[in-house]
Amino acid sequence: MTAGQRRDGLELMMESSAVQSVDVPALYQQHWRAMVRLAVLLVDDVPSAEDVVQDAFVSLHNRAHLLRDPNAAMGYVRTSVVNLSRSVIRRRQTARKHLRVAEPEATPAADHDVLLREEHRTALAAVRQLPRRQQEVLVLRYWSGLSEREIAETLEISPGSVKSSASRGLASLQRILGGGS
Amino acid sequence: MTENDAERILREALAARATSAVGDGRPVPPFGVRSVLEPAGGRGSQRGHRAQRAPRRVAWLAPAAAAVLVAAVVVATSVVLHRGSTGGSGSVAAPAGPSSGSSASHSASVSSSASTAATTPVHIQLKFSDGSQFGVGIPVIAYFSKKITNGAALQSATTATVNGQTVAGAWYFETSAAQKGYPVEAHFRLQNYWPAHASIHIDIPAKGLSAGTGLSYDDSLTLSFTTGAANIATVDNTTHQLTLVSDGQQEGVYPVSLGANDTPTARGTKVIMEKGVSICMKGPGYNECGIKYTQRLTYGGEYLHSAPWNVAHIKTGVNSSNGCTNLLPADAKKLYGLLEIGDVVKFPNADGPAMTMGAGYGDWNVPWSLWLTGGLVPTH
Repeated sequence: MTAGQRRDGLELMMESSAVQSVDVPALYQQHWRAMVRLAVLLVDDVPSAEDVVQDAFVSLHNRAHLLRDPNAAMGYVRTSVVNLSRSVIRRRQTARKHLRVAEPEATPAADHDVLLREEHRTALAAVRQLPRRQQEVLVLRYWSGLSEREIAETLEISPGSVKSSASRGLASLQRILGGGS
Repeated sequence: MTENDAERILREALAARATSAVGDGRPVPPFGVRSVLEPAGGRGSQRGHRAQRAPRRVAWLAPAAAAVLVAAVVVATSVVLHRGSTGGSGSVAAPAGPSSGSSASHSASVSSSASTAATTPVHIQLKFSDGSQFGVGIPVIAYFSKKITNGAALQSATTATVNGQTVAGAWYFETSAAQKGYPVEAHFRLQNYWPAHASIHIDIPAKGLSAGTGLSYDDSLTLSFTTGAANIATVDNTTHQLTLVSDGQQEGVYPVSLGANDTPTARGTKVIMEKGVSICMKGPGYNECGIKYTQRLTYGGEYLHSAPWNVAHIKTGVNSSNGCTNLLPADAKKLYGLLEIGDVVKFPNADGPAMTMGAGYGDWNVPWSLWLTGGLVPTH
């Protein structure tokens, strides 16, 4: 299921030429960095993150004439980034399963974590061990700073699931991080 | 640890990772329309290449006109254009294909001329250039600009000679992050190491051959290189010694300190990938420059190198490094002079995880029977 199909709750504009539509290049310039940073936290390497964001904006561009509201447009991009990141991870896992030899993607990128403090590295490693859903909720909450309602819309799950994923994820994290002290 | 502590650390950690990976100074790449036919979440190339996308960039017109243009591209069945990259290495025997070189400013003509091309071009680039001398464990490395789906044509077209005699080698494919814009990498090797002191020629007349349905190569390449002495170093984790055998004769034995318990050295056969007289190394808890006589063995950062700070452990056979093979300064200098890129360094009983293909030049850890399957794509 593509991001586009899943976001049918968006306001659709039928007479595209009649109404002002969103300025995709401007949104791209304005939000590129924030979106790549979000994607990096989800896919864990910069080239994949840049590709994900590029694809998300291309996807918006192909539908931009349908979107009236710039906020809804960025909501669409954010959802695309999460979904495309999930696809990247899934492809990686599939490739590994079939190859049974490690691929270079499995090795950390050159920029990987080396500049981070020990505590932060441990926390990131702990986040990567969590179920996918919990990772996404934690990243959207503690990096993107979204509300529960916004996270629910982005991931297309119920606010109750957001709440339980966040508290479970945080509890696991607390357990892992607290283990050493 | 309280929940507040966990939240704070998580918030800081995510921010640190995000901002260090994508700095404020990182330029925003041009917005290129790449996967016009692919829906979000579809099978896009995982690692695109900005420079190659440039010819396909849609000039920004009024949004409605842009939409029309997209539709035109779709109607034209949008064969993706590709600018052959001639910069780089390997001797490119033929120029890039006929569809390359389209100007970025001609979006409209791009979409119309695209309909005449039958297949999507795949560009091949070789990692090494002609005339180099390598150790006997060197793989021939090629990068592919598209996710190819079949390697059989390339396999049957490729020929290799050693001192003029034809030898049987094979390609093995894997996905790759080594070269931006080249999502697939293949290594060509023989069943066993290359003969020593030999002159090797690889001929890859790939241009026009199929790389899978709808894909064909747009270049042909050749590579000529020589091998030096057959240097095989074996690092024994029991005696904590590196033994170098050169052309069948034992050259010397050198004491080492391998990775400590929490950062063990990987087990298996590695190949020297690059050399550096003095480099910086970073990792968990260390960030040191001026590391001398370094010879890289894995992408992750295992090296042979001089470790003057660790002389005591090297002499007493205690594993205490971050995964590297620590050598006495005089030994490291000597081995730096003796060994070359492509030389084989074996760690038959190291404590770490098994060395894999993609962790470096891990080719010799893949059994020949598995190698012949082609890996990522079939070659037979």
